[in-house]
Amino acid sequence: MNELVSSVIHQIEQVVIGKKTQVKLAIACIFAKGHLLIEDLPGMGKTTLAHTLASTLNLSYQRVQFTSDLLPSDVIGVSIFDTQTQSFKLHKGPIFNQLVLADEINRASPKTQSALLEAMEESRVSIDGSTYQLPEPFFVIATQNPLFHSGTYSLPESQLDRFMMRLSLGFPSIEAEKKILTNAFGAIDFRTLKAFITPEQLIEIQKQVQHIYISDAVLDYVVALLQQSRGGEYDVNPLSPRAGKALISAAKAWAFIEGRDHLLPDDIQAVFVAVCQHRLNPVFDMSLSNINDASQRIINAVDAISPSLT
Amino acid sequence: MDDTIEIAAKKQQVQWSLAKNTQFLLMITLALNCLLLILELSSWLIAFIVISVLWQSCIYFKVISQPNKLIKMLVSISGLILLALSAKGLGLLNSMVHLLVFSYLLKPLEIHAQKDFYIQVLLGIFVLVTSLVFIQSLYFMLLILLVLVTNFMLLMSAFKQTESYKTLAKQVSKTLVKSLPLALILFIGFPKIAPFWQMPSAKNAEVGLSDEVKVGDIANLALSNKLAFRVEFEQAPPNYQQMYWRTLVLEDFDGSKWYQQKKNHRSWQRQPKREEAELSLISGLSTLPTVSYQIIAEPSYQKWLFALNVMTDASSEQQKLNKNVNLTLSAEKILNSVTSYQVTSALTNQVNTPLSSEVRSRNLAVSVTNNQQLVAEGKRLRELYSDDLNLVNAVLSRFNQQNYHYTLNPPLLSNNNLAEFYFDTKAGFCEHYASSFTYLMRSAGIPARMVLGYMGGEYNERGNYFSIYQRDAHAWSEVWIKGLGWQRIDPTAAVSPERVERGFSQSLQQEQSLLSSDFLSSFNTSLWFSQLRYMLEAIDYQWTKWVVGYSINDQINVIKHIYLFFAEYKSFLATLSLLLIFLVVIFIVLRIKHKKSQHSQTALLLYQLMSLATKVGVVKNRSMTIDQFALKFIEKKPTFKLAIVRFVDGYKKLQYQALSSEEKKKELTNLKHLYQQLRQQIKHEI
Repeated sequence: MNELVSSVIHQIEQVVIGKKTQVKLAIACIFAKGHLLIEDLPGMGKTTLAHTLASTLNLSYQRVQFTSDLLPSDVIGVSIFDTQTQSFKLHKGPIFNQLVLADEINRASPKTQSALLEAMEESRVSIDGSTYQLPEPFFVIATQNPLFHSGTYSLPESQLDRFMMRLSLGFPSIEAEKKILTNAFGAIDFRTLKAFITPEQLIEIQKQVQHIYISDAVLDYVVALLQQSRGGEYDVNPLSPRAGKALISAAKAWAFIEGRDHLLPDDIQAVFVAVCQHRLNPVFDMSLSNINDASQRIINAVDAISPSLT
Repeated sequence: MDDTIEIAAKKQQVQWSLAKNTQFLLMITLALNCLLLILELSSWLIAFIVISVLWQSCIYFKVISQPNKLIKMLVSISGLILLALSAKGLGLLNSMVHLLVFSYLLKPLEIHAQKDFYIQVLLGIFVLVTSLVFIQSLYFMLLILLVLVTNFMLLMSAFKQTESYKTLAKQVSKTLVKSLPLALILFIGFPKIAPFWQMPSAKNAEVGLSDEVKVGDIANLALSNKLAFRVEFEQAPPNYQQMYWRTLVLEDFDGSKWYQQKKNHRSWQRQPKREEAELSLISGLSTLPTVSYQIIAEPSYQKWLFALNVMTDASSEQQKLNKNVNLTLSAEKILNSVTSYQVTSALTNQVNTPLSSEVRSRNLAVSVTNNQQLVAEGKRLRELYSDDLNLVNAVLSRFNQQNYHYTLNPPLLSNNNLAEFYFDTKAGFCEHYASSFTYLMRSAGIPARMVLGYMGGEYNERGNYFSIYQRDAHAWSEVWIKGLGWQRIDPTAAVSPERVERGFSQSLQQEQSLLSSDFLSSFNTSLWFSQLRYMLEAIDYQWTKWVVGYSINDQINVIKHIYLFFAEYKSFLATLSLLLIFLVVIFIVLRIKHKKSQHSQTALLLYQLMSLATKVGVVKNRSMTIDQFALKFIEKKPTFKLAIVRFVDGYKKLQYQALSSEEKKKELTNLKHLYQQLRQQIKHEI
């Protein structure tokens, strides 16, 4: 199983160059059954990452480009009257895929956004009074442009909370950028990517991740981190228990990727910024040099070995 | 603490540079620290302060880049040249202050490492407190405290780069408040040893009396609102008419100026000063009412002190006091700080002492070159009145009845001619009257001398003390009359009695407001303003009395009192402290128990290891996990690699993995074993 995971990571890294941590976090998010929000400037490889993930994990995939005139029915589907059968026939929307890429989610109107987000939360949709179960596994990867870009509707805090992680790819290093520039004439052909994992295997992995052991010491650490965010010292939104759950799930997936059957505080630290930053400080502002600052400060303030000392 | 280490470590990795808000604070504190010294700095340095603040803000806003070596060199050399040129006029202390400020201004241009930054901050604090050499009032001290907060904010911002200014200020104030008890203990208890070197005096020309007076000198003082000294009476204060603060006795006159001792009288220049006043010679001293009071004198950069007639006893804890033969007081050393002293006086306006022939001839000497008319007038009066007292009264009634008047702006006298004043202009200030009267008395053969001092004082109800300002400076005469001794005569009182009765301050203020009926003077006299002023002055008085004037002797007294207090309530305090110790012990025991119950044995083992590790220089940051800690340890001490890795693995197993209780037991003994091994190894290393 572990070899499988490392080959998945390896393949994605060939496409998304020089972003090993982000790739690992994205995979951890999927293993933890979480939805992923990728937030960055245009042209940083958000869509490439999502696309590569879908191909590598062998999931049915559809991309929805969000625009300001996109309607909820464009996302979830609509019933149309069929004159031949004299009945309503459901035309399923792109959401009935295992992996949905909601590109530039914050360009759509809040109504459309919430239709998608509702589906994410419930794993099912209702169209004209009937409820339809979404496929298993089901993921949403949403990308978002920074808020200061024109034509954006910011996602409210309650909806940001639906995403397990928020990642920001950031600029590549000089080496990586050279590599990108030399081999990226024309788009990558995603069909050439090898599918490593079947959906059944993915569900199996998700189950295994759930069973990773979390000791009292690590639990104490998580609680201490949550408490720390609630002290009012950091000028942020305090972390909710749901954030704590997401934190533990993501850390478990991380531990799984690392090949361990138990959690370490290191796992918590590894995913903490990705899981908590958008809950602490929803406004994503590239112009601030210290975007990840609040979560980093919370980590710095809590003793990782004996959390009760702080 | 952990944060500091981590940030410091981070700093060493990357090129060291200051954070944006630290840079900003650096500029602000630079400007503020220099601002408080601005009164003492010469114009070229003030100009340079402005230039360098502008310069640094240009660098801050990236308008220009850091200057290169050549520019820095040129600026520092030109500054040093300017300093050398102005050093002579500035005096030693001021030129040193200039040098300090100048280097403080240049240092920000070469902050390359953390060390430089610390130097800059420390230098700033030193510059800031240097301003206390010049001004010591309470309000200024509060201002300094405020600026001190920004200085500490600057220091703190280097460690907590992301905090806002508000949180920084909050944290600094919190720390300052916490340090208050320690500061108090140090203030009360730390020996206030006098400096081993003589502090160069800050000011040479100070507003105040001087020991040679020519007509017109005091008139200059009359407009000065500067405080001279403050007096607190132990009993009821004496009448206003008796509050003649004798300061200097001038016995020599050269035709235009009065001197304490004329330069050419070397033969008896030194000796009388050394001589103690002989109180036993004064007859009738024991029958006089006595009054005791404490005087707190502002630094005058002179030696003389103030007392009421007849000063019988005086002592100070700060200085040795000399009781001079002419019944004035002086200090052993120049007063360059606030000095307080205790005086007991027998209130009288006449001192019945015998007059030695030497002193008699000195007090009869008249200048031969000047004021011949006055000499003739003296002789004429002598012929008219055989009795000394009658003669004195005759002159006083002439002052009173003829067209003499009292003014701050008398007509100019040619060559300080007293006769011109006496016969023609008839308008003058207290010295005109005192000196012409004294001169006239001498001409008539009555021993007479000029006395300089202060008259009256302003009563502060809130603080129950009198403030005497430079504008209260006064001059009067003393004549020696057979059978009565030295008799105080205030000719000014004869001219305008109400002035002496009400005090100078008030009458002068009236005259001033007549001269210039501006807004400020009406403001000055308004009731609420004077109330406020009295209150503020009362606070300042207490501050000066207890904090600025706190000397080593006060210190000894306080400690003695504390000791006595302890001695008195020995048994009570002993029980109290025993009880306290008992409570503290219980508290500590409970805490340890609590800690032990909270942490498993595994955690305690790690805790012990960490305290061992600090001894070999490996400190755990708060956010470090066990693996990160191990990595740091190995990086610092590669020889421990195997032992550390084995210990950490054991620890991780126990702490983070799911184990059965049997496995746990086994692992724990194993871990203990590993810990002992590690301990041995580390101990060996140390």
